[in-house]
Amino acid sequence: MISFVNIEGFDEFAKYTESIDQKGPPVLFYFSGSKLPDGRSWCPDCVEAEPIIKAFLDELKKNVIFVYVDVGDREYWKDKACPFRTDSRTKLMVIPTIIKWKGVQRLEGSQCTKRELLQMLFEEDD
Amino acid sequence: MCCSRKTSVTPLGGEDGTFDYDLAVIGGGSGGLACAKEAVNHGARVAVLDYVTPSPQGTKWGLGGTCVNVGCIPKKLMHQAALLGESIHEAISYGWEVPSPDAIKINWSALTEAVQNHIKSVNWVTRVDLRDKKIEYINGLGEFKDPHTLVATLKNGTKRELTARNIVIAVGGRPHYPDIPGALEYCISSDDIFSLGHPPGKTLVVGAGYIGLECAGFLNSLGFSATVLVRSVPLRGFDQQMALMVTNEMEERGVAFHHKCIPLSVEKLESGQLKARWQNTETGEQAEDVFDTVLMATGRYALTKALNLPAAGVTAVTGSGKIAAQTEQTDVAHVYAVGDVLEGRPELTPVAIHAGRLLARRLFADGLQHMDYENVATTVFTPLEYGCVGLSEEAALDRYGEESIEVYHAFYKPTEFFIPQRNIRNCYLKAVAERGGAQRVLGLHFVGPVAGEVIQGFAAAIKCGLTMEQLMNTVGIHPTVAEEFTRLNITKRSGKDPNPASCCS
Repeated sequence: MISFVNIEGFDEFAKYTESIDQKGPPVLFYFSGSKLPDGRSWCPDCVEAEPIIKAFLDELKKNVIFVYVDVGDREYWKDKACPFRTDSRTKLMVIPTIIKWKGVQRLEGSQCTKRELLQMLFEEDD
Repeated sequence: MCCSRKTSVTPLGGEDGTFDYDLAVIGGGSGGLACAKEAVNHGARVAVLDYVTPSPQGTKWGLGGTCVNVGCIPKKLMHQAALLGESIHEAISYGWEVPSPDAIKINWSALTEAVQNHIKSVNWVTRVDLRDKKIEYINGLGEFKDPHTLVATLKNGTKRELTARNIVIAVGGRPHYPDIPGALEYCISSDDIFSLGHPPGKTLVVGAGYIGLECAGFLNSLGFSATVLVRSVPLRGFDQQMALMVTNEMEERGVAFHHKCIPLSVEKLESGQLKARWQNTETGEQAEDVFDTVLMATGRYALTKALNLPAAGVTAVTGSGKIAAQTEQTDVAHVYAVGDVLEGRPELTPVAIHAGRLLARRLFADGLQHMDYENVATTVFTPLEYGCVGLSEEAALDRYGEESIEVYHAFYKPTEFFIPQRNIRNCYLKAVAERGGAQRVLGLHFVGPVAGEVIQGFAAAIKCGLTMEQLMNTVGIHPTVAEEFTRLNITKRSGKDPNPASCCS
């Protein structure tokens, strides 16, 4: 059973992390650029990754919490001081990025478009 | 099958279609992974087998081999932690206001957590890389069933068979334990120290090779009292004058050395502490002391026994269990070996990586180049580091004779040491060269800070045939410690004082 959560911006993200049940199912954060009026993200790599991830999640038979985090618009993300880049909990260098919460595992950029890698990230237990 | 295959490229995949893989690598460490990744770059179908048998204390780790998990990487991180601790105190002399310097201490669990987190992220990135490159990773202990068939035993006991046209043995080694009472039951090794679940406390290190000295070094600097038992000499095989500088420095920092001593037994006391007994092999005298931790660093052995080499027909195994393979080629045409498992080759990650890559190119890409094992630079990361490349003074004397050798040497004073009044007594370097003509450099030796960084460039220079004439005509960068190599001008033969007069002259 996959639980889907939608988060917008860093403050909401930080608040959410405090509510995570340590003993609950694994939490995976997917950081993406925000959507433009036409429904697609300003970030072309995110546009490429999203359908692949969606399709993968449709087939995933595992108890996980998938948290979609809207990082913000292009200017916000490109700023070196963007909290998603500087905060030690995320330290994003690229979007899209998928992070396993409290783990070392993450996929960055085009890695997010590869099924075998998504499998490794989502299906393996530590 | 002809054994003199020189340049013919191994046909890939479906030529006769009888093998599962073009290449199976046993061992997912430095050599094995480099070989596997290079092979897929040239179109080979590759499988990597990796398995970690838990240490006697139960420690295990993930993909990446010794270097990543229980070797170079955690060692360098702990060495760095130790240096940083020293820096905090030195900073005070430079004017930094450090509140309660006496209260500064290491939090062992924070250190090991940080180190292990880094290692785990490297394990992850390694696995992602293999998967991305479509290299099959099998987490099982591999052995030969026949010359082209391997059997991998997984953790749950199930067995998986696979066939490969070529097989590379890259199983590396593990710490050796002396055959004395209490060794296996109570002692740890380098396999365990980097993830030790409690602070090591007062530690006895048995063995004075680079592993023993590096461990004793950082433990002492982190605040854990360290004692070293030296069976014969420290850093056997290395230049002994430099080894003495290294151990002198350690002693001056509080590490205790017992020379010519071998361990006799380790027993556990009611308190949970360990009582170790040892014997001086020259005087026969026995001694004992109580420690919190006893760390065995008495050498490493190659993991060839579990491979069932006879099933492959590989017989080129030495008494120590290592594989004799001049060009990484065993006595079976399609079976190769790289890394620490090889007899008579430097046991270093970059050596295994380079050899592994060149081998893959010879197998799958018309490669002709063979590994050059000469003049490989290395560094011992003791509190004051020792970097070297080429021959030791002893080896040069042995090979060329005293009359044909010139040794240039000097003590030096790092600029940064003055203000904190750091000990300069063991800051020393030397160049061993041919005596005649332009004096080709045979070996360079340096004890001092950042020795690895200092020596690396000179390794390339030696590869180019560096002479003392060229070295002396190289203008140094000032102020650095590396420039001291360009300032060498006093020979041992002259008997002149190698101590520096003053800076800049």
